[in-house]
Amino acid sequence: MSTAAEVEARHGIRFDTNYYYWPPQWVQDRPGLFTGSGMPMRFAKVDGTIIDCYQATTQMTDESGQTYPMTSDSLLTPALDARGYYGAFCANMHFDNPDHPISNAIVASALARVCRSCRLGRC
Amino acid sequence: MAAGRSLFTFDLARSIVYTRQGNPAWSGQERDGTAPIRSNDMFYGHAAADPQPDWVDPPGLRFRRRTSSSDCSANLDPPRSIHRMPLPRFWYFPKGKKAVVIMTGDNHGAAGMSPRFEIYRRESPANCSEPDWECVRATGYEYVRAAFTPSQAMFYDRMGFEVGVHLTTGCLDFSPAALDSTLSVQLAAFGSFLPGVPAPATSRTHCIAWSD
Repeated sequence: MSTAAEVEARHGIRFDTNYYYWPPQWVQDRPGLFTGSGMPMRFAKVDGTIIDCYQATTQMTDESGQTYPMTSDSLLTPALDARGYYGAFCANMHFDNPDHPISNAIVASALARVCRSCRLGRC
Repeated sequence: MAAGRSLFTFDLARSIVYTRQGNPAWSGQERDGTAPIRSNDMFYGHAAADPQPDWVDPPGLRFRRRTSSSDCSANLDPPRSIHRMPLPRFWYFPKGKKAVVIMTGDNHGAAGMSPRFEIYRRESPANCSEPDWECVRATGYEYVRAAFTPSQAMFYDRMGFEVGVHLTTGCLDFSPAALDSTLSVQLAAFGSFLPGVPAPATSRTHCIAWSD
């Protein structure tokens, strides 16, 4: 349940992104938080011992059959509105190709909300 | 409750850890039928040989589950539990920001890293402050010697990008000793090839192998 995190911590890796919303037939293009949270948190062993390595779940990928910007919008909007579903939402947009439409869509989704907050004087 | 006291009628810490890390009874099982064993197998209910409900509710309910325990915990007095609880207080982003996108990407040897980082530089707001998380930045996980030259890696590191190892087990399940050895070798190779670049502090494994 935590072997990889324990090994990583021993090697100075303190932030793990291997919890990964995949495969597509399970995801079914449903935006959400399959670990129940958008907040990175330290891993724990089954006996409750804390591991000094944070779990940052990868909720957005380019290989899970997710639609964009619907997915990024569905995570960011409730984090910023009155519902308060805050989070740090991790994406894996493979860097094998120079340009990446999904990456561009996520960045645009985020920047649009930054600008909106600024206009409202909340930044 | 009296001031300074908090009472939970269930094991809150265990509930949070199990929700986040998966069903410990499914640890080490190949449940979705696609090797290697991954973290999602500990959440995947519909195993052919052992059909069960998914470990966490469908997406529409996940938000509510998270907030039911985390919002409660967020109101606890942090000094009481800090360093002893998995997450004693649920507010960590600079300047009270409510949401953060952690942009990362795996690279397997093609020349996409530098062009993509340049796109992120262009997408960044004018006069943004990188230390204040105002710029578009990312972490690139690469096979050692596959993407960046040392000078490229140093160039982007100075601007706030992270270059890390895309650890590979060959898409195979691993034992603790095997993973330890693999990580040692690949981190050493990274340090040797990219001297001056900070040792990786974050990671994603190829095929996202997560054997238990």
